[in-house]
Amino acid sequence: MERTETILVSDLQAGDMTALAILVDQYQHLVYRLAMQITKNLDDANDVLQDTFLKVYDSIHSFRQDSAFETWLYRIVVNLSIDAVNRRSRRRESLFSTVGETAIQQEIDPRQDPTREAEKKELQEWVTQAVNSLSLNHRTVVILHELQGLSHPQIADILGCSEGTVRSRLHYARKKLRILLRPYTGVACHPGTAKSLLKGE
Amino acid sequence: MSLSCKQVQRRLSDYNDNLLTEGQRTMVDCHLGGCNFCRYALESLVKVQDLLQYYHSPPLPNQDQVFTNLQQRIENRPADFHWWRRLGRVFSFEWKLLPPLTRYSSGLLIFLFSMAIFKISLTDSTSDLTVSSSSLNQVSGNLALSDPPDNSRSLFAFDLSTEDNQRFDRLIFATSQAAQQQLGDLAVTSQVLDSPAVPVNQPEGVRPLVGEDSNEIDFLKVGDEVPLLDGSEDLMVVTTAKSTVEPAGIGANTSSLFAFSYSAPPQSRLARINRLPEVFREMVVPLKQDPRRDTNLSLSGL
Repeated sequence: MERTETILVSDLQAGDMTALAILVDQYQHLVYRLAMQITKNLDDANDVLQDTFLKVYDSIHSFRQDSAFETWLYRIVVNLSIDAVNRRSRRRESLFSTVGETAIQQEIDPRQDPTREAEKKELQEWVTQAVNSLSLNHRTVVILHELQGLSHPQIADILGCSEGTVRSRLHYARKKLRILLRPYTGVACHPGTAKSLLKGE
Repeated sequence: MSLSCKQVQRRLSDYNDNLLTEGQRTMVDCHLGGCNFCRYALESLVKVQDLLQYYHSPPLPNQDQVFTNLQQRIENRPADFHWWRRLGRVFSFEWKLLPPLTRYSSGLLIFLFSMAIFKISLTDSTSDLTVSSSSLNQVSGNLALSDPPDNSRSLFAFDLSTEDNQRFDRLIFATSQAAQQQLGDLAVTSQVLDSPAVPVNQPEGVRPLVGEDSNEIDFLKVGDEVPLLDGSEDLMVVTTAKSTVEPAGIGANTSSLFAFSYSAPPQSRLARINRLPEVFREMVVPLKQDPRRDTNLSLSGL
């Protein structure tokens, strides 16, 4: 019989490790993707992935099922990812965009039209760089809203801030993305302008 | 009332997310009907949302390993962790449910209470660690002290050619042994050498024991081979043997070496252990500066 999320959480609270295995299987891709998007670093994303489920295991007893498990999980991932970014910046290590690099390294599918695939790859690279060039706060909100599809109240709950703050961050993030992605939005703008913006000039 | 372009631009994000009131939405709609600039801005905003689907994030590698690795991490944790986990369950509480003032007041009270407990335990530990008290009239010869690089080791090597230095040697060893009994995790390493000590003219302050040109001391680990200061090819090996410095075993020109090492001490003792090298240094430096001065050797500073 397939266990619902509520039952899985209850089972894990009772110490059932198979429940943890199922939850890991269900959410590992979501957690990794979100951690990768926020940290922009493969090592950090892997650490966050492990630490998230470790935290779930350690803190599951304090989880009251009056809110969704997924929201609670989001909160853990986002907080751990933000911590990882801050830790790395404190160590003054470069926050190089491994996401962008991975996009560049992607193989072109030979079964598809090569020109179209190359354009798609270029677009992916451009969009990824644009999002990654946002500040941590703005990037996090854009990722949660635009990429994860969470609502404003959910994001406010996850980040521990007001809905107004979420809306404001989203407004400024979109404003910057509009400028950075002008060559692809159809609004007249020389690509060089956006390129220099991407480089922070 | 009509809105300016600036006012509309500020509302476009909320407009796009359907977060405006009916009235606000009507005003923005009205403006967009007659303003190409703001309409393009809205179009580009919608286009940006479409473009974000191209955001690339690499897929999870080794997805079959995630749970296995997690299970290993859980199983390899120290046994006492589970004790803390059980305690955590007892004290788990939804602090968010409390009103902010109550929450912050409780936090402050807990903090003050913890500080009071910490202060009491610190006072107790100080009296516990007063282990030895004696005095020296003179220390001659040369002392070399090291500053611990990571508070994990400290090294003392000095000439034991005089009786006063031998007494000092015994005292410092007895003191460290007592500290070991108190702190448990401290490993005291010493080696008494019968080879001649160096007839050195060591400069004031720290002298390198290993390495010729460096002003830094190379810190020793158990098992390290250390060249003697006399420049000979003989090496002395730092051992873990706990040897008591017997007066009879001390030659006329004997060097003594102490290395204090401790690995993974419990957090509760870490601060006290980390302070050990500093305490020893505080004991030795006054002896160098004023050899005739009476110095109490004690670990009461811990």
